[in-house]
Amino acid sequence: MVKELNIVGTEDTPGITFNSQTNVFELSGRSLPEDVVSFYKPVIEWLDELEKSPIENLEFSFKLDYFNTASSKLILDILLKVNDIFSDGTPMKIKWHFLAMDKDLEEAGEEFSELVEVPFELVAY
Amino acid sequence: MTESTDKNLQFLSRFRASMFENQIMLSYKGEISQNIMLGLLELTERKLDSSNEDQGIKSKIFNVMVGCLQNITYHSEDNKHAKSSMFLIGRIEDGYAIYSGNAINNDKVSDFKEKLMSMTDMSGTELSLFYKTWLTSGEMSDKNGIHLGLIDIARRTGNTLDFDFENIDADYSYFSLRTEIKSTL
Repeated sequence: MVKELNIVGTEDTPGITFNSQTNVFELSGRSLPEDVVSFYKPVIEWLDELEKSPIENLEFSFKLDYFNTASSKLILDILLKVNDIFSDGTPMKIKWHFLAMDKDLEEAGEEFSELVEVPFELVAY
Repeated sequence: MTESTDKNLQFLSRFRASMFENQIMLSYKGEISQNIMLGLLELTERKLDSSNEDQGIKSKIFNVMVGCLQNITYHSEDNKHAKSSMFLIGRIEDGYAIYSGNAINNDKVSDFKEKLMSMTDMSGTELSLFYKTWLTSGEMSDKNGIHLGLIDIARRTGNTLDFDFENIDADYSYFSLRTEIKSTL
């Protein structure tokens, strides 16, 4: 059974939630921690659990404002893990939200979308 | 007024003139830690909000700031010159100039310089390709991460990196970096 996730966002780390009622995983805010690997460890572990007991039609929603280069590596790790679960036959989708004016964030979403096969939607707000 | 206070005030006057000339909106000198970086980000955000700067350029400034400042933090450990780190933002025509400076151990200078030199001739496409190759390579060492920080700054700013290394003592050199963020980018 996949657990709920509830990591509260701070000034330099994103808020991360998984709501099993809505089946939405959301990562939002800023991701600028000095030690990205240890910060994202619980998320990677949560994804390992999900891989063991996958949930269909889960939505991975990214609503980031800023992230450092080290975080981009971990975000890709998350996306690749989602991609693995998708490739094994569990339908899922990814939504990448960005502020319409923020070209860099839009481009980052485009770059990530090229690296996975999961349905990937870029959503301007 | 004594002679010494007069001298102090002269310093302030010269400093103000120099800040004015370069249209400096934020300047910091001292050790840079994660918390100091967050403080500087907040100050910058308030300043940009009060001048109604658009989100696109604000986001670029933030990303470049984080790249510069975390690069400094990375080099600060066991660095006796950590307190001489600097970070400034100035206005330029249709945009901003970001300056940063910090001491780097002489052992690291030649490798660092080489990496920066190899970037200077790269086009935007080459920088993006380099970035993507790293992103998907599976490596995650600090060293690569920091170098990548500079690649990331270069590709976000249209490769406007200017840099210089100045020897300050037997063990350290001072690394100065300047880059421009234009609203036309």
